[in-house]
Amino acid sequence: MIEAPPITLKLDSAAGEYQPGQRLSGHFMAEGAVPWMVRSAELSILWYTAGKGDEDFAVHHFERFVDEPGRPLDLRLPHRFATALPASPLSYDGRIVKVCWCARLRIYPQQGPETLTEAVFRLGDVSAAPAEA
Amino acid sequence: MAPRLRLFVKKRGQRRTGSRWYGTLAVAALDLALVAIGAAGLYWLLAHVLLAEKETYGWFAWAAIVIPIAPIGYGVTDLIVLVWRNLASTERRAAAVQMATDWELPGMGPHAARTSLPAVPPIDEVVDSAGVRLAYRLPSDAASGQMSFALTFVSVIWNTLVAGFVVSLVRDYYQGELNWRLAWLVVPFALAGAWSVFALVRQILLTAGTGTTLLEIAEHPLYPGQKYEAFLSQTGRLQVRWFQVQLVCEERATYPQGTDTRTDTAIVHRETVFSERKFEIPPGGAFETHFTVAVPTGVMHSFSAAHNAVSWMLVVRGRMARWPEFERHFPLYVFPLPATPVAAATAISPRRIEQGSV
Repeated sequence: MIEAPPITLKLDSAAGEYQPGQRLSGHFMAEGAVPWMVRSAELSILWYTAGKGDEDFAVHHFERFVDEPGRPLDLRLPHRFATALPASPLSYDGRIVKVCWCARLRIYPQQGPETLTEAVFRLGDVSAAPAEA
Repeated sequence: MAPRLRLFVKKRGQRRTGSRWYGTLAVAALDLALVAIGAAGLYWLLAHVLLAEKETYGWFAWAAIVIPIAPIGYGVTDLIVLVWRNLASTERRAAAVQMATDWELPGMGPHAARTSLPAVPPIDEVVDSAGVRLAYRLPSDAASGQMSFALTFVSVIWNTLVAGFVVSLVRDYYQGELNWRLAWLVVPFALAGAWSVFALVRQILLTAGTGTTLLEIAEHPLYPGQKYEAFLSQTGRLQVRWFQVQLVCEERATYPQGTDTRTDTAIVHRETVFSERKFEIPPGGAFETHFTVAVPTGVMHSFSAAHNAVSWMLVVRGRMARWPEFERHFPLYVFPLPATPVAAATAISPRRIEQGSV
């Protein structure tokens, strides 16, 4: 079985902190000299909930890169992405409800299982919930 | 050692005890079986009944065709959903749903005239109700009304059944055929019925006796770090021991536990914005006051998703002489602060040429 090369998924903001309406940009690429044969790659900017409840999530930005005969998908080349972030929901670290934002890269290789890489970031500057109200 | 197979144990949490492919295959097999049963039924109905020679049925008989078509439709639809779920990632499916949600159907116009933010509940319920002293009258949540309705429903059904038993027992008693075991068996049910009547009367008296609470606010939605003028009116012939209005933020999380669905709540902010002790509301009069609601800086906005929520509300609490403590909730909507000019400018700036930057 062909082993997946290391994947780089980086946001341009080193701090990983954004404000509503701000532009988020970054890039992803696979490291290594040998081309990695992949069927497709999916890049999503999304929020999801963590904590006690079932997970809710919504995709804000979605891009799909497909390996086609005329346009082979070479992940060794950096693929850039950018989007304007929405006004809500803001990142939140509550007591039983947490809202997290991330850029998520899902790669479907031609052989082997899919790989998942995430780069988390914060949207807004909401304080964490106090331990006791 | 492999865990022993246990058939009659309630499963807790969301951990998976086997491969998800077993479940997928089982659902696919069930769907195919439904389609096969429906197809066989449809063939039999057409070949042997509706289109059979020497048999004449009216148009009404053709309505029976719905019976075999229903499992075919259900099976095919579920198969398509199953294939879509297994071929497309959760993000791709969510993006497709999001795109479909954003479509505007012909003739329906925009979704809402007011500002709509992702995962923030709409404020239409509040801003559609104008206040008398201030701009908006806050609607009370329907909890006490729902409680009264539920108690009435349970009380009527329960006591009707108990009354039927009691009438039957009384008739048996006068006929000298009373079954004492059955009579004793009815006693706890009758006591439960009496308790439901007591609880209903208490609920009605509490709702009616503590009068009407009216809350109005000058602006809506609210924003973190801002102050808002509010107005309170409390009617009823009451001797008030203490009376409070609190600004409350509550987290709510829904999750499955075994076959049950549970909801947990956590109060993450509670602040008394108005408090008064020992005063009297005269008959026909009302206690009226203005106060200020300050939403703290850096707090979470109202958030609403299928299983998780963050809700803001004004809670009116009080204790009247001869009455138990009461509490009424008035939902508020706190929106995230609008994007700053700097952030907005960044958002509309042209995309940089990134060649060679990585």
